[in-house]
Amino acid sequence: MKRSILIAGCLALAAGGGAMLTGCGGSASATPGAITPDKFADGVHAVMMADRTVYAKHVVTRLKAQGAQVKPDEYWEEWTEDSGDPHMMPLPAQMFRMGASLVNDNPDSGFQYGLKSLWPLNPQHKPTDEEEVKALKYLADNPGENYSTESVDADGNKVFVKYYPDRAVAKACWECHNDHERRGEDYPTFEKDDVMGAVAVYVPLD
Amino acid sequence: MSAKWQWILWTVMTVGLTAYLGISLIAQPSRVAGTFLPGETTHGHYQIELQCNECHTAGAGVRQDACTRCHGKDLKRDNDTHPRSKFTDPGKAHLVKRLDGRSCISCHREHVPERTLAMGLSLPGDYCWHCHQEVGEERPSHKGMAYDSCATAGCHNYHDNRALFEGFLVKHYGEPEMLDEQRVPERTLAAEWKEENPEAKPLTVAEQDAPAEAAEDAELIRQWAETAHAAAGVNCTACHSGDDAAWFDKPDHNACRGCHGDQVDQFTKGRHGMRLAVGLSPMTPGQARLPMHAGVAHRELSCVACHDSHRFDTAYAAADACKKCHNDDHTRAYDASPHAELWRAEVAGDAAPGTGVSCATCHMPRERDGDRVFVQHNQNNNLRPNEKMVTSACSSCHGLQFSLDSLADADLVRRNFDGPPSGHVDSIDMAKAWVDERARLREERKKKQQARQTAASESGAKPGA
Repeated sequence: MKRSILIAGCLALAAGGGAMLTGCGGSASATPGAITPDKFADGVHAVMMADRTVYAKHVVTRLKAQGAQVKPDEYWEEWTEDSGDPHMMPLPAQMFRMGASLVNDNPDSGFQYGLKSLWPLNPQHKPTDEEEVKALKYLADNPGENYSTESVDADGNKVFVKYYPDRAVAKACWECHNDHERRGEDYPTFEKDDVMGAVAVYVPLD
Repeated sequence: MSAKWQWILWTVMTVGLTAYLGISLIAQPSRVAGTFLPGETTHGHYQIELQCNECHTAGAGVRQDACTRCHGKDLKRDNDTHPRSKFTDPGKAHLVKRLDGRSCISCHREHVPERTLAMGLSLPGDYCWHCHQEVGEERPSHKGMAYDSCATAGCHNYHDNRALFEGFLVKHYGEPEMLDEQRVPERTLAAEWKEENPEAKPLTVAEQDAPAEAAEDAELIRQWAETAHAAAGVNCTACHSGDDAAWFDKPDHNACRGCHGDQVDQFTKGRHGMRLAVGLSPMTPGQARLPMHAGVAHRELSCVACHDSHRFDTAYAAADACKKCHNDDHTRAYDASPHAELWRAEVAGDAAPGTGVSCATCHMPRERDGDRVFVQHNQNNNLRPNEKMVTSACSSCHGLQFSLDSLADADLVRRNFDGPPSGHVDSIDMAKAWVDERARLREERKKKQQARQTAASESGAKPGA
């Protein structure tokens, strides 16, 4: 059901190909009746956040509270019976990235998304260009706001990009980041509700 | 020669050549089809090189799924560190411009022998550097390392890092050369069969159900009666007849598939069985590029080539069957190796089951799938790069450092592990040193934070961040 709504949304986007986009914090307008890229991004972002909340709150936290043998671990996939401990499960952020991988690799999904941060534990998740640095700084400096822009993908196609703040909502998030072995000495100390990064939603315009 | 005859000769030659090339295009596979091979095929693909359409489109392009159709499942199982999805993330567009990891053929090319490496694939030497140039800054221990030295034995691998990821290296730091328990897990196939077929009862010679003319050879019947097949209630017709119940003398791999589906699938993915998977005649030692014994060139590689029909002796299949054909340094050195000594003791009943090391122990390891333990029948599955053997084979008996050092010692591999390794792979020490340093910094941070909180509470102010 969810997927069919997404596909319908993408088709609507294709129909509204002449969408006009504005910059920072602005909104996109399109053919009357069609879903704008901006609105579409808001919708899928809401679904992503809801799914992750359910996973973090009702799966991970619940298992922890029950003292279950299975525990979240960054290297959950590498740990197996053979390598020493098969009782690992993905962290909420990893669950989020895994979903992104499946969507990004699915030619039918019609859009893509990812997680970015100015302070990533994995340097591969740093912002990649000046515009992205600008977007991430804007989110950190303007709590409660989003950032929209346009970019091009690896094949040179135009995409609408909307960045949403990713906040420290569960204690486990900031505790793990603040104490992580990969954090550098200049890494910030996060507290509840701090913006730790951004969810980037990419919607094709071509 | 008159002009008329010159014209006739020209016409005949043109028509002949056109017919020859035309037939070679449509009559695949055949020796004629080899005319269009653009260059020598790698040692992993040459067995099926004349089935062009396995990898190519009709227009001689490369099929989208050319690689993943055979290798996709294994890459998933190996927790591929660089799956395609890593490069379809639009946030990585800038990296894709440097190295397009969305497509296998960005790095791996076929039919380019001058660029094909010992592992049997082409690979640009600097592929890590394109995206990970900053590693020297993040890991001072990596500073100054050559840009093409990342994927050396025991350090990193682009696809499969199951035995190389940091947590694994650190967990296995300081392990002894020989672990306390040295044994491979027990296979579960027979137990699974019994559970699924509780009604199956062991069969005797008298209960065989072959037609009279087929049952004339009493020796074959006697051999069968001693097998696990007879013990599991699997009678002659279970293998020797198909859906229509008609008897056939020589069951092929498809007859085995009924009960050993996974094993047959794996077998037809390895170099022994891959020709069968694409509808070609079975592989023969005569077609091999590795040194083989004289006199076995025409043996056909099917299930019974190693399992010896009617005997189905897995101990024979695990070592003697291999030695019958393979004739390289590694194989010839096996009998004198400590591994072989353990194997002989197990086969003789002088040592516990699972403590011997046959060819199959390492090349067809016992793998786990939940509670199941099965023998991986694709003997090429953990061969290259050879660190793949660590988790599936070496770690049943040896510590990680010893395993990595041994696998990195090419001469020791050639001599079939007849002694200790000569070198030392640094990756475990480096990972441990890094983790220790991070733990020290973490402690320092905690102490500073506590000191700040104490100072704040003593001065009556609210504790700060």
